[in-house]
Amino acid sequence: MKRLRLLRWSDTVLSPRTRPRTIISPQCQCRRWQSATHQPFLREAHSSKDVQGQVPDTLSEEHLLRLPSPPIQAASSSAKLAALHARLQLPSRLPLQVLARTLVDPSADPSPQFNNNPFSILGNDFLGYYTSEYIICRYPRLPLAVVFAAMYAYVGPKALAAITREWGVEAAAHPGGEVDPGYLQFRRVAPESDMGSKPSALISPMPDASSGWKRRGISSRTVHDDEFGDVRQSAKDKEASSTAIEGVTEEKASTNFVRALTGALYLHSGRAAVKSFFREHFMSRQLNIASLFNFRHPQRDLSRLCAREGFQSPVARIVSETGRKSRHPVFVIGVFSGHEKLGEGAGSSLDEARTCAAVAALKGWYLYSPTELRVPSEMEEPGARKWDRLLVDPGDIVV
Amino acid sequence: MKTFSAPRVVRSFIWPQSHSCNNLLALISLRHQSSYRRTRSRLNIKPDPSFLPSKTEPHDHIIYNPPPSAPNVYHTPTIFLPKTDRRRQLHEEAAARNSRLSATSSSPPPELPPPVRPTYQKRYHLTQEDMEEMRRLRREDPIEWSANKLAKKFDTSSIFVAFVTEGIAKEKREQQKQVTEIVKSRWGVKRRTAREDRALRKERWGRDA
Repeated sequence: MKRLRLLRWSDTVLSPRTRPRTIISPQCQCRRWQSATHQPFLREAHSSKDVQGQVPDTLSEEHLLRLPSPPIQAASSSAKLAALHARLQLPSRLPLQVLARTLVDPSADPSPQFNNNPFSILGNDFLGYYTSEYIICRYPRLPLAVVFAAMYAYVGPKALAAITREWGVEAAAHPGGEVDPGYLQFRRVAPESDMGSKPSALISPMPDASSGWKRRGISSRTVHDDEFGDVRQSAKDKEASSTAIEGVTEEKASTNFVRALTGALYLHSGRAAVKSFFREHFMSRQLNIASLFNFRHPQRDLSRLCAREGFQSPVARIVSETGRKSRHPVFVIGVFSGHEKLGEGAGSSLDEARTCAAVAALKGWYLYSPTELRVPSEMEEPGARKWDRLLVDPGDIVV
Repeated sequence: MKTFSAPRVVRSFIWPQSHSCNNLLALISLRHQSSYRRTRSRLNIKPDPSFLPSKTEPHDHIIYNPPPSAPNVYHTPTIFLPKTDRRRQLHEEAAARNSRLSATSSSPPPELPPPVRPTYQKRYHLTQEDMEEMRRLRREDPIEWSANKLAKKFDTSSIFVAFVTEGIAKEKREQQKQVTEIVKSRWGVKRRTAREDRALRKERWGRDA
């Protein structure tokens, strides 16, 4: 595959801030193409340049207070920003100025040239792609509902907010030009505003009837919804919500920051850096996938599975038991198909142990993992081995 | 011993018959020194042979004796592995080696443990006429011909009867629901809490295992 020459891209992709210093003409260095509210600053900057012939390194307090987010000059002198850059072991090709820009939420600075929105859109795609390919290649038989839950656990808003805290990124009380650029800058939601307008999909698995189009089933979610199986916000809704809600929560701002950092890392350092960043900060997190399952009728599902795959029908057998006539009996029951044991469960009643054994057997089926883990994005690397086809599973059990 | 004499007197006063009193006293556990010693000596179990000093190994060695625990769900059973998976072949080789070892020691092959419920073969003994008859009876008098009664008459399971006669007696179903509601409305706090807790515990069976 041909490599992209990112630095040669036009100005539409890379804003003046993100380009290396040598390319930037001295005229654009401190100019802020913003709306008319900042006209006084622009005029004064021009006048000072005319007088002194160079851009001033420090801006006065009055100028700073008028800016919605910290100016570009402040990034190089911020200790917090440099410490964050070093702590995350980011490559030196990612400049501090860009790192500062990833910390500016759209709610703080609405201009897309100064906030992290373009980066976060790109970064979200990378995080979603790498996580989903990892989960699906690692456990090819997982049901889609579990895949969605695992995606949410790895790169969902809550996980990304936790990652932000672990990285030691602190939030500014209020955004502004005078704030240290090492803080996460976003406008907070007003305390009295109504937050419970739209519940998350994980709380209500079925879309509400008020949305008009009633969609049911997990398959439509893969096509129409976002990477967590959540209803995708339409453009009209987004517009309405952006006008109605002034601020964002800290969780939302942290999510945008992590995504933006991933996107910025790709733009400045390339794919290999993003992959190693993803491996170190996201795939290193522990997630017990077996705890994400919830079966309603495990015994029925197991017998359907055995019928579908052509195994003998499952039989529950008592492996061992103690205290059958006491107050606290324990039964250990195994589910057998012919002479093969599929799963084993323990419980204080025969029914409980039998159900647990069926659940263990179903988990044994769904949590199959190939011995060698290869993901499709490996093929983008130069000199990759020939691709072997992955296991394609017939799908979940539908009763 | 003095402390136990008082309740004996009280109980003999309440139940004057001597034989029932003796029966009751036999149920009350009295802890004597002799029973303590007996319990202690019974709990003094000989350790597993692998923990004892080995006779064959002259030097220090590693003892691997894990406690019994539930099998890991991440270890896929052999039957669930795809045909191309290498573990399938390895498991077969290991099984063959084990069977060869057991054959040399001339022990019988391990038998399967007893089933929880008696195993049965599926019988497809009901004809189309039988099912029509089942539906007719259910339609004519759903109070009299309940699912259980039909199952007994046609020698089948009530689940199968439910499949066959689905949606025939809707009024009966509603009526039964109302009866259940009335019964539940008479429950007290304790019973209601206990039933709800039981339902919650049952829900967790499908999640925790």
